[in-house]
Amino acid sequence: MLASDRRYGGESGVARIEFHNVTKVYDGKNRVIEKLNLKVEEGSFTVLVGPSGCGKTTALRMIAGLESVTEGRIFIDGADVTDREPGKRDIAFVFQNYAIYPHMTVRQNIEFGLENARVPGAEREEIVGSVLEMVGLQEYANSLPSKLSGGQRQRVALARAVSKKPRVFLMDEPLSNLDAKLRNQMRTELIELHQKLGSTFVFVTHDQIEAMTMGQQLVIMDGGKVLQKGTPREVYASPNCVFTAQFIGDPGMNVHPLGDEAMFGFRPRAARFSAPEGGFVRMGGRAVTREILGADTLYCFKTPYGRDMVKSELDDVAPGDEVQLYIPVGAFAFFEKDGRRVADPERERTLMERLRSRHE
Amino acid sequence: MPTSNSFHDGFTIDSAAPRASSRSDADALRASVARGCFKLLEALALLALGAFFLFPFFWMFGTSLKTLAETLQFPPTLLPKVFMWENFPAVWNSSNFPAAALNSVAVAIGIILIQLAVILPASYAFAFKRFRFSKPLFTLVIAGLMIPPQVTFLPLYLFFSRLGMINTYVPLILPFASSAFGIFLLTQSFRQIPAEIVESARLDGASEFVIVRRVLLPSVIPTLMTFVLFSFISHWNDYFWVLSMTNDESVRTLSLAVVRLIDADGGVKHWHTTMAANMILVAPVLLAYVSANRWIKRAFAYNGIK
Amino acid sequence: MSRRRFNSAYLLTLPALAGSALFMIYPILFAVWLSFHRWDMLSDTRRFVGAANYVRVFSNASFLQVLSNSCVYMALMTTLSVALALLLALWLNENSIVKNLAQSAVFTPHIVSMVSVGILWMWIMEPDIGLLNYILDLSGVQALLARFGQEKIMWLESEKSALFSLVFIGIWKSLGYNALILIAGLQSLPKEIYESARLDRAGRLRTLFRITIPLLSPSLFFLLIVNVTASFQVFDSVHVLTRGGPLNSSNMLVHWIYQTGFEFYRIGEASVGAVVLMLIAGGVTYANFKLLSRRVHYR
Repeated sequence: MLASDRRYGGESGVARIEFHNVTKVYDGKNRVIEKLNLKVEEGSFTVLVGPSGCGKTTALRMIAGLESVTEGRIFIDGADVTDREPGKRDIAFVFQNYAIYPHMTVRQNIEFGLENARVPGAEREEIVGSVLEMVGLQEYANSLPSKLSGGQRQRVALARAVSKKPRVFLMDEPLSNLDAKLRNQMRTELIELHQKLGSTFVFVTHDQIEAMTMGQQLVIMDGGKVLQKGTPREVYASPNCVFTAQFIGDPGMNVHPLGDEAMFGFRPRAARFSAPEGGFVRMGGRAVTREILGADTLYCFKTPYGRDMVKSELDDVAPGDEVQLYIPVGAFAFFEKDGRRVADPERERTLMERLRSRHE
Repeated sequence: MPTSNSFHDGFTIDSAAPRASSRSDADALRASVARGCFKLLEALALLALGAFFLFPFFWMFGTSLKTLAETLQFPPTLLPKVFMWENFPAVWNSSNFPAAALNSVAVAIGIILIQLAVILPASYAFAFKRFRFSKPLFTLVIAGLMIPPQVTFLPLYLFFSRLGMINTYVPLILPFASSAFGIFLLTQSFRQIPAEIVESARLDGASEFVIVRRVLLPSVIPTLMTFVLFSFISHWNDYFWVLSMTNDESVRTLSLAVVRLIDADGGVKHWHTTMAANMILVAPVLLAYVSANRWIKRAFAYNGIK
Repeated sequence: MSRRRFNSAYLLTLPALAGSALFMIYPILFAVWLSFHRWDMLSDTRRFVGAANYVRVFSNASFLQVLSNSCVYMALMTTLSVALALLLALWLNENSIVKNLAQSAVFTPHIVSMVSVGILWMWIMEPDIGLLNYILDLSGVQALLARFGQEKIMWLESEKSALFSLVFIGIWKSLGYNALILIAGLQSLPKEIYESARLDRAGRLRTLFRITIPLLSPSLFFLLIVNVTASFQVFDSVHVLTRGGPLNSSNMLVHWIYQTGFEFYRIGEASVGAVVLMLIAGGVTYANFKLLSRRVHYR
């Protein structure tokens, strides 16, 4: 009897997930994931985020067992599940396209997995009833998916996932097919669901705003590797590489070469139009475009280094204007030529000096 | 921008270090041997399946090269002792094969030409023109798909007989002119052309005729080709309709000539010549199948796709 | 301007509509009309006889047997061919070279004419010198059958086996088409549904019966209609291989109409057969729609 069988009638589970040196190769040539080492803490809401093709979906599917592992092992709660059937890992998966059975009613969709797990009828009734209530679809219990909207179908997929009372919820861009307003609403609901169930949630998205909004832990991926893992604040304030710095943020950090062996960057929000207290770097720029976003205004400036984005609460600079931009010393980040963030404070100071000397 | 280096500092593995998979090498070996066995069994089954469907054709070919005495042998031999290629010209020259073959070709081509002439304008109208009754009329034409020739042959025979047209090409070609299948396919195909392309051509000042010729027709050429293929083979293969509408050998097609050969000599059936004749009948279709395999599959299995 | 557009549409569709009217509507109406008349070919006179033809036909034992034969053929052919095709489709639904070749092989009999197929199998099923009985003998099946008192099978030449021989030939010819349609249907099913089923712990059989087959129901429904209507239209194999015999055992509806009209010149009665055929075809389609469209799941 599986651990999950004990749980019917109880609360949902929780588990930690570990990738040990996992590599995934397609057709002998396409190395999608390279020696991935990752730990997902139990009970966390972890978001895998990165551009298309970075391997986040593949990684998620490997946790589920929907993709085989070429090399390496995967552990859930300390147990090696690498060769275990997807149905026996005590996980639930929510697909981007919902993947609900079109020929079964909402109720039957949810019951299907429970039937296969030999859950007795009365208990099934109870579980179905409670998850339907949880997602607010009680009146649609006997409807067919074709009669439901996209958002409602997504809820069916969610209800089905919750009904399994899994240790881990895996979600593959579940909100991408919803319109903007519904997406925001579902984000909140998912966060509430996580708080209520306390299970481990692993969420994949390519939208860094979504990641920042929802995640407790962000795992930033590119090219099949993990670049940085941390809380939203950590990855925003302390990016460890250029990619993360430019990927996170709306818009991302402005990064330019500094001489031959380094780079520097500053966030759009850091630049001002008047001198701040303390040390600063001043550079001239001409406004190219201006987007009034409401409370903020987003500018694109042509500066000695190329193009720089600036986000400000002031909207009185017009396209074509020549202004001076002031960036506080503390707002700068420095990177080595290979993209890695400069770790040594000495080196950082040297680079800062070099930068300031250019703008005396 | 560097993407190939991971800057993530990994993590330290817990002291309660999870063991690697407990699968021994022996287990893995056993599993792959089992898989290999299964693959072998499947390959054999596939071979048997292929043989079940293809071997009869080879058997037909083999028989067509035997002598009469050889065919009467029991147990039968797989291959003939001597390849009697002469059977083919013998069959071709003995009965009215050349004339029958000509009839088959002429009728099939005639049908296709008249079908194209009828279905192209009709489909164009149904797809692009709005006119009263267009929907019910379209349904009426498509309903023809439900009405098989087996229902209409007797009344039509009487009709053509009245007009004295039996034993001409007319009853063999004309009734198929308004092909419900063709109109259905082509109208669908026209409707799938994005409206923007047509509008864009109109904005470029093209007249209706030019649009049809330079924009619409090229888009439906694949559909037309599948239809032509389907129609040709169907009518080449036809037996029932020609049998019903004719009784004079001079106008009858190859299918009937082959059937006539079966009992040609009264007593013992000449299977070798019959099979040779059958080969001649089957050859064009099989040739087309081998060379245009995907087209043929599309042509014949298309009406399954909604 | 719009006046001209309207006219041109009617002009464009005129040939097609004329064709439909002349070669589709008119013959049907004519056939119905004929079924109520007696037409003497010699004196070329027709007279109205009301339902007399119908009475004659339906009290004719041989016609009833023909109807029964057609129904048996239809039932056996359709169920076996579609069921086997489903198994084939599930097996061959892979994009490997070998399986693609297998698909092509299985489809070959479908495009060859029924006449060619019939003649071929007539030769193979020849009781004395044909390949089939030779293989049965060689493989020991014949000896096994002998234990049950079954002598050599006479296939098309015996009234006990002629109809079933035709059924077998019909299945051989139609399997490929049915399988291809089902393979296309299988390939249109979204892969994620199957992944979802794996996660729902559904075993192979469960997945087949609770997911694959219900989702295939549009294709299955389509095949049911096509196969049933096709089996009532059988003629070529009957005429070429058995002429309906021996002893009317393999005679089927269309062949009966042909015989009655062209060989016995009983036009009125033959038309009754045609009307029966029309009703069966229409009835089958209607019944299929009503009964099964409830169960068919469109996405």
